[in-house]
Amino acid sequence: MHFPQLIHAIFTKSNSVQHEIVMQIRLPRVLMAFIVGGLLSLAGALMQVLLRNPLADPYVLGISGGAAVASLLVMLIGVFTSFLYLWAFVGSLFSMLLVMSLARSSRNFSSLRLLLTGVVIATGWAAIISFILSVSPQHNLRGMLFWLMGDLSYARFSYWHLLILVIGLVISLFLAKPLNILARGEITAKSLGLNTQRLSWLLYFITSLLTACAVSIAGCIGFVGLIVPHMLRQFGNNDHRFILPGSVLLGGILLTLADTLSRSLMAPIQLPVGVVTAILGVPCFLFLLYRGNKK
Amino acid sequence: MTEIRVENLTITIGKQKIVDKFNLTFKPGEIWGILGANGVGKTTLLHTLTGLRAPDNGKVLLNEINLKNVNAKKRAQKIGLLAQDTEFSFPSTVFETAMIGRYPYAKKWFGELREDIELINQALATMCLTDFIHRSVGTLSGGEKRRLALATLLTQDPDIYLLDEPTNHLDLSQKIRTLSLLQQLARERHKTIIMVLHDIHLLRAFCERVIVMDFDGRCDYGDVARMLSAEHLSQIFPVETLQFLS
Repeated sequence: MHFPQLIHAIFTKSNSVQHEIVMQIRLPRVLMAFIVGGLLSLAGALMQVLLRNPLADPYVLGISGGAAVASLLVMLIGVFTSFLYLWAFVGSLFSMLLVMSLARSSRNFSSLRLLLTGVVIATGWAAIISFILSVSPQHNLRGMLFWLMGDLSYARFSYWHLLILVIGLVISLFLAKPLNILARGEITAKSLGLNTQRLSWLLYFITSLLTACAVSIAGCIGFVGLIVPHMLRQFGNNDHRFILPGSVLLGGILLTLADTLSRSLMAPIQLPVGVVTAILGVPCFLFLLYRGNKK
Repeated sequence: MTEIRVENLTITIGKQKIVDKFNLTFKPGEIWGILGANGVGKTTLLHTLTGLRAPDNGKVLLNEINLKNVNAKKRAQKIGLLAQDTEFSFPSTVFETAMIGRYPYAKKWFGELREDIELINQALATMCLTDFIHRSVGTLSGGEKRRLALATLLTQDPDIYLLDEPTNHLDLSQKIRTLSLLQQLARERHKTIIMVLHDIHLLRAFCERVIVMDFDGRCDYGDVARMLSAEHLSQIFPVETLQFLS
């Protein structure tokens, strides 16, 4: 469909096939790609400060693993599959609470303890995922693998997800200045009057919810949450008042482009969008790293 | 002017008593040095005085108000800490890093006040960092990073400066410059300076009073001449170290 046809299809309120395709299939998918990209990038930017590690991504603490196990189990059993996104969300929340309760020790927040607990739980989930895949019947495997690699073909537009992204961004923007301080280390942040314990748990809670929301829509799409905040930082923007909205915008645009490529590169075959983000993400990340080292 | 007082202060880590029933008042304009062997608890004492760690017993009083009851931002306007090490995990410029010192005073979500910017520029100039203002922190040397951490503390402009080994990574002339600056802050602006220093010569030259900590939780304190006398030093250091010093 060419651009004039697209505009015509959007603004003509007829029951034409093109109007239906654009309004019922293409536009919701583009919007959901933007929302998922925004959710993942925002979660990535927050997670990097929470763990004081510019290489952290939203999946590092096992949130996606919990979602994957719940979704794959539902696919394997074959009941309630139409509520897949809901199960994925429940799985993420369960994983989040599990990591949180294990990492919490005598009210003191330790980013290292959280990271180690999250990584161990994520490894546990990965083992269960491998087990489910190995006992699943052949006809289920393709759907499962698509979900694991990240796929937007079953995404349906929902105002709830948009609302979560907007609320997440607004709350994060209120935290932007404290985040600039926390990025300089816990002792410095505390001595400057920041309640690092409260902020860290709040960040963990928000990133987990944002990630759970993204995973429940489109499975585990890699690289977006890692690379987008990193790109913005590499381009010389270090203030979270810019990085957070910038991440939502850039992440949304990148995932929308990646999804368009995943649909059109080998049309009529559709690739999982996670494959495209990884194929584009690896050279892009290496380029940034190389450029950063040369500076 | 701000006074900080410790009353029956007891700090323990596990079973080890770092500080046992310590009483002392740090008055405005005084320069204190803290001396003790590695691992004796100097940093822990500084963190307790900053309010980062609650005492196990006793109190830290800021102008006669228990530190635990002071609002964290208000506390940071009065007490500033130069940590032993500073994290620079994320890229940022020298100016952006120094700017975080103004966080306890921040009123606006966006943009900085003109006074804040002036103060930041002034602090960077004092620490000879004006030429590096737009440089990425990652490209600085260890000594330059230390000067930047000191500039951030100057930007914070507290009444009480708690400094954990402020001369780390600095060359000799920068060490003297930095300690002279702290002396000037105490004399002219009545700032209280409390710093951990390992160099006996620098302690003698720049501090008026010294706290000597030992592994039994004792904090002996007094005039610099008395505390750094051969007799006192022999309680902390082995004979061969003292022979080298003399």
